[in-house]
Amino acid sequence: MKKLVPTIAGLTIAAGASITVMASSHREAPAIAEDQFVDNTDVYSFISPTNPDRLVIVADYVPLLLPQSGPNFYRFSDEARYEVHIDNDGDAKEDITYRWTFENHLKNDKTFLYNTGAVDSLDSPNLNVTQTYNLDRINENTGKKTRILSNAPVAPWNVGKRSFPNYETVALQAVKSASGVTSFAGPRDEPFFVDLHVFDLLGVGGAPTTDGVNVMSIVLEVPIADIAKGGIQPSSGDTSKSSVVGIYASALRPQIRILRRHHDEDDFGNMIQVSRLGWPLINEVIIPLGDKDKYNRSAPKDDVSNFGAYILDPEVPKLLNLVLGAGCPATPMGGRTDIVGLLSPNGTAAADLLRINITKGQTNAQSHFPNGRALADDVTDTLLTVACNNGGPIGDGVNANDKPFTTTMPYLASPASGNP
Amino acid sequence: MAKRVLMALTTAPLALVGCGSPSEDLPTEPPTSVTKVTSGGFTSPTDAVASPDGKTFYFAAYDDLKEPTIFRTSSAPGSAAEVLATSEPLQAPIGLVMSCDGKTLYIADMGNEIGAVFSIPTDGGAVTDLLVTGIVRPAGMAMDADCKTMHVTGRTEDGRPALFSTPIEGGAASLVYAGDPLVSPTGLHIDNDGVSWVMDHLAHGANGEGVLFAIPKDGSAATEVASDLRMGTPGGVSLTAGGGTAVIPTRDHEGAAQITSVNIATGEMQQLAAPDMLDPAGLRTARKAGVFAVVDSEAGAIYRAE
Repeated sequence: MKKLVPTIAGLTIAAGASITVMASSHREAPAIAEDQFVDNTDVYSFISPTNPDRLVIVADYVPLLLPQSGPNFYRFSDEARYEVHIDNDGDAKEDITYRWTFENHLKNDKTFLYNTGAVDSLDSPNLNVTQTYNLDRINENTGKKTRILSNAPVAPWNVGKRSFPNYETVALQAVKSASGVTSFAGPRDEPFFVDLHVFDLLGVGGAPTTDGVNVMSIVLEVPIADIAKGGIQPSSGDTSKSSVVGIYASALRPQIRILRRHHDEDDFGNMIQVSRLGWPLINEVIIPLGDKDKYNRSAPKDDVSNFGAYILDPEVPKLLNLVLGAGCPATPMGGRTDIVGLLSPNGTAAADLLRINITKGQTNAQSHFPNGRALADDVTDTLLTVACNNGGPIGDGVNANDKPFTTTMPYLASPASGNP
Repeated sequence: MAKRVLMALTTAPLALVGCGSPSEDLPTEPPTSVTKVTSGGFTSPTDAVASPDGKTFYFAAYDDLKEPTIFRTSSAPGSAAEVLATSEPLQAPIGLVMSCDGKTLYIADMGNEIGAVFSIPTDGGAVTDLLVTGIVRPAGMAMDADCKTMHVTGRTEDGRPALFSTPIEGGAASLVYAGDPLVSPTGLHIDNDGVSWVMDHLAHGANGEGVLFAIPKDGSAATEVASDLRMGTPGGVSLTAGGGTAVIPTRDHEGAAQITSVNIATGEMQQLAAPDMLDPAGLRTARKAGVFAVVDSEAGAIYRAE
């Protein structure tokens, strides 16, 4: 989206605008940075590239994972809940929740090995450490919970070529379908592309710092009618509040954890939300340090009252001007209502929800941020350009993922190997 | 945070309706007001109980040094709490129950290796480990009508969520009920007919998560009484005299604190707003006074409802 030229500061400039970059929501708040396994990093949503009647939602967790992270490779927490919430009537309150809960399994506790030989399938006896999950759908208006998948397998870690001669063949066995819903959970190549040198006083230079790292992904593909208000996909041309759905992902942990000297820890009590995300970069660079943990604990319906001031008068343009002389105009009287407008399409309540048009006739090609979010969308550039609003595009010099995405479940690229 | 409609219970456990015999020992009506009793000097209170006459509250919390502590306070609004016991052997006190005569406080503690049940005289003294066996991670407690037996929620040694009974002197616990549909039982009330009323955070009932179960004395079943109860940790429940109404501290779908009264026969729910509270939890009634002790675990305060 931009023409990049080098600058004397080692930065790149697009059409007269300075450049910066952020990581979407990786380790973005103090509390969640200490609880990596439930750190929600990104949410994507797009119309299925193969079936326009279906919607794909990707929720990524556990950021910046080194492929060679053995012997205890990354996984989902078996004490947490991972959830995707959908608002289908525009009031910023969830109407439908999909919930993944995980369980760990160990075949042989007398070895330190994740796998005791080459693994050619998820059922391989050599695959020593495994996870399964249950997927539930909760109608938040009636409280009804429906079990969609029971004991579905999580794709294993890509340990290396000796352990997984054909890793992707094994991993794709973790794509499971039931009741018209398709689900995948497991490690994938980190789809978010960024130069993390930004946190050295915006010292970016187009370095693809998230190349070669993995993330734990949950991918859901559902019939649009399953999530639409009243169970009916809106007609083409519908511009009502229910013509879009608002999506956010979250993770929850039990309220109390007790560590024991000689026994496993106990997690206990009410489930507390510890991480959430709709749009990229909101909690990363819009919400200040003093409120980042609060953001992760709060609900989108309260975003205006809790955090509206940060949206109306964001820090990012001021920082761009201060450090890079980007020429971002001052916040206008009344604040950045243009950004609020993007967060409240078709008259929906303003909130940090990833909203996407679900009317009939929508196609995958139309699913680009902020109408949903495609895996390849350069949201950093988009949001920086919107935030600065100086009339020119702003980018970071990292414009694409290092691996191509696919057109079939789970859509994300195969995770980087621990021993390629 | 959701928009569920509170629905009248259509599957009321008719066999259990009214099984709490009429008694002068409990408040006859659900509370109509909530007033702060004490705050300051402690954080993260878990459970609270009232003396039989309702004039004194006892509660478990953490003192300013973050040591687990049992506090005592007058139940009058604006009172100051005093320390009854602190630190070892207490680790993570989470459930309390008062002896019928008001002279002994029993404590379910989830700390140490598998948890423990302690006792302490209400006029002060040493904390005693009752050496209860068979209960892992004790959570909620209730005193039987015979005043000689306690019921305790927790887990079995093989990890199943469960309800136990144990003599007040301690020793081996007896399993009353274990397994589904219980998931994470905490708060507990036992009525005069021996029916246990159990709060469960994670059980999912007909109307949503957070369920009140009724378990008869013989442990033959766990029957869902009400669901979609967004309770704090630990869950709290007390029945009014006659067993007609369960009083439960909850939050509404917007997160606002309230005291919910559930008509056991019809499932109808009524809410008393508690706007000063953040996260209401453990609740217990006085045995002979119309007052309930309630904790606000997040704000660090003790309230009285009456």
